[in-house]
Amino acid sequence: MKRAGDARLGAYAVLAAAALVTALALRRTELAAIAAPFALLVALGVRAQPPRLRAWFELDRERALEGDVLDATVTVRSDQAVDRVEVGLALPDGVELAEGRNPVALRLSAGEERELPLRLRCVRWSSVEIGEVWLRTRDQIGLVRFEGRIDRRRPLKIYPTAERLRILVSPAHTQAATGSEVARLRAEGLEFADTRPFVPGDRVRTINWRATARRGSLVVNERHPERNADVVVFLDSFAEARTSDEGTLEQAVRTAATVASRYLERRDRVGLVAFGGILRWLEPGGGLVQQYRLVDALLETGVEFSYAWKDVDVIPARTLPPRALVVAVTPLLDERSIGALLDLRGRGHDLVVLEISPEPFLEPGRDRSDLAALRLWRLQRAELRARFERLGAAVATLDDEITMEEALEGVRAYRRHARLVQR
Amino acid sequence: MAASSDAVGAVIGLGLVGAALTGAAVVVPVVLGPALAALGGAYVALLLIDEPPLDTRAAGVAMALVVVGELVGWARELAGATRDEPGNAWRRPVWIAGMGMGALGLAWGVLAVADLARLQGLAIEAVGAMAALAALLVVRRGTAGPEA
Repeated sequence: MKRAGDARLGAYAVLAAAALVTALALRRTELAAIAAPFALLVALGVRAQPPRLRAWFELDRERALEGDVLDATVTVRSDQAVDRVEVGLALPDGVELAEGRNPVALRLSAGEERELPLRLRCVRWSSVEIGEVWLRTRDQIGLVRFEGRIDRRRPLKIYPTAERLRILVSPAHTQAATGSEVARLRAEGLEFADTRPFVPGDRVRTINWRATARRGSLVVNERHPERNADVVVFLDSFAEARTSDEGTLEQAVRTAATVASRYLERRDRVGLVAFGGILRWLEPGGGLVQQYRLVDALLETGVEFSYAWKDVDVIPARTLPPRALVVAVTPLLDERSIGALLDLRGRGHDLVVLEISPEPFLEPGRDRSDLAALRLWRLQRAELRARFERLGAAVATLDDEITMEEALEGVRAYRRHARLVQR
Repeated sequence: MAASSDAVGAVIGLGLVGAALTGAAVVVPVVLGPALAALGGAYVALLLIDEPPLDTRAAGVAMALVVVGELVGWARELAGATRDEPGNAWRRPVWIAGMGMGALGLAWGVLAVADLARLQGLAIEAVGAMAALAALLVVRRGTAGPEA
């Protein structure tokens, strides 16, 4: 344990020395009498030895969702009697105290073991390590402090809570495997597509008997099959706008997790490209395991500052299958990610941009020039959105006033409209 | 008369400076030493005015200075984020009172020995020998390492 003298130790030493010197100089015994208790306290303080303290930390689980409350226990044991020991659990970002006392000062008798129950609330998604216990005690006189940290850290993964989404953006192309997306092509399926004349080889159960009766020749039903799709979530982590406790990256990760989990529920294959200072990717896959992989990869995402210019060429080709729907979650702040998205669209990828608006995190000045700059910036962003839309990529802006479902409905409407224009 | 009023002014001035520094020591602990020194200085000035043969008020001053120092320490603890367990809050004021009484007793003892010294004779020789022995024991204990 680290030893440190309290401010009183120095003060008492100074006072004792000054009183003794003055006593000698003035030949006054009274000053020596005043110095005596302080000199004794300093002597006792200097000889103080640190007590033997031990601590443990237990957490009821290692994975939680945002908003969950975890039960934790800090256990402290002392071999000697300690008049006052301060015990604190260092709480990482994203975890706060819900119930209990932290830090707290305890009195322990020799050999006593004390358990401190705590309830911790997971405030924000993150991948953290928790369990660093710091202890601070003092000698019997209270003039010397002993401080130490006991490392009982263990990983804690706080997953973002997925928002409720009833609708998703339908991809332009589907894959061969069975899924929940109604494919454009005609084959065996549930959704009625059209009728056509019977040809040898058609199954009897496909015959539309009413149409056959009207036309006088055999007519069969055609249907759209239900197929799955490849979806790649493109998370822009080059830059973010943030206040002290919230930023666009937090919202972007939450949005990406929601989108990914909803597509996975539909049996689509979902991949991830976290495009930023550090490039992270996950090839498209399906199922529960892929969902955990995706969320774990998202939790590792942070804004890492980088000057390096990056474009889509750095992304492994297998991560971006040719007919995949690319859902980009971005604040549209960094030229590199904007350039990469335009490049993806230029290469023919089906692109949807979910813009996490940085405006709620801005504090514009009140000068006329500041306001003019803000207007210009907004115009530039509107022009950027229009540029994406001219290229056929829908842009939905997510902010405090619009829910994700509303934004996605706007994207769906745009894509219906864009399809008509293409015809 | 003018010199006496100057000395009284010095007592009051040092007392006020000491009080102000003591208040500041709660926020800036490094000024606790000067604060206690200023308060002690006020007593020294008073001692120079009165010039008693042996002033027994010194024991009270020692107690007061110890209590002031400990109260400042307690105030800084209370200003921190750590709270005591319920039921333990009373221990600190009791401890401070005990330290004050201990300081009073010790200072009183030193004054008593000094008063004894004024009597001269064999008694003071015996007290001197005991004090030397006690000092040797203290030094021996101080130089001995911690027990295994």
